[in-house]
Amino acid sequence: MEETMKATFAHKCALRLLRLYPYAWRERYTDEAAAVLEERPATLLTLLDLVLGILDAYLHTDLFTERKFVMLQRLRNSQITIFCAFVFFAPFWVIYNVAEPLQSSFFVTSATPAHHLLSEIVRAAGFFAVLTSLIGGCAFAVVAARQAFVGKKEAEYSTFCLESL
Amino acid sequence: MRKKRTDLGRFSNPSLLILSSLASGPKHGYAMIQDIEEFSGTNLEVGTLYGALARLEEQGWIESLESTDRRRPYRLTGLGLTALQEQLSTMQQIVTISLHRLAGA
Repeated sequence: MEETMKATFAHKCALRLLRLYPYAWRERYTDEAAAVLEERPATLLTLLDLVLGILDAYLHTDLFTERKFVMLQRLRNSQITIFCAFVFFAPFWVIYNVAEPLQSSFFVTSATPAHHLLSEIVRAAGFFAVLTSLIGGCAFAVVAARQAFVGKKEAEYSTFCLESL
Repeated sequence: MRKKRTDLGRFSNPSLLILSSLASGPKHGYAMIQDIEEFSGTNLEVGTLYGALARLEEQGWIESLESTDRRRPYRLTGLGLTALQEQLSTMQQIVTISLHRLAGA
């Protein structure tokens, strides 16, 4: 019982110590290190080693600064995902609007002239946005999809599948 | 261009153990700790492990693979394999000479 309490206390301390590492280190290794600590009971030696590790990480921050590009890469991937999602969405938006002209005209005719004008502006802006994304975005989406398949990046396959849905 | 660090300092020994562990295939942190404990009896702690991993990655001797469930596996690169072979042959030479001298003493 006392052993378990000690282990839990040491584990909590170890997790707290992980939070003291430099930001770049935490971005890169905290999850992995926490997973290791979950499988392996922390001891006083573990805590001491982590303290030395923190000092070392602050003294050698240059080891982790290069990892910033990973974060930028993630950000870029998110932007690509959002953009590609819109490119996939665009044709369906067009099909929906073409297939539902009666419903739209009913709403437009039943509304006031101001609503009619606003509706036309929104529709024109929508078409313009869709066309722009299709012209500029299709090539971009094809390249991104090709890179994902050539690079055998399973995570990106699933992203494209979700986008298609 | 930043000069590459070749001296791994207090991480030299853990690095050699990590490279030896990864020589049998990709492993994540905990698997490496277990394997190293089995084949060398050395108990690597988390702070030392990740300090050494960061250095080995910077050297280009190991690379990380896609992480699964917070566990990121690492594997040896071609450069890492060469570095490990060089270090082991140096050690082999030291062992041979030392044993020879010990036998003659």
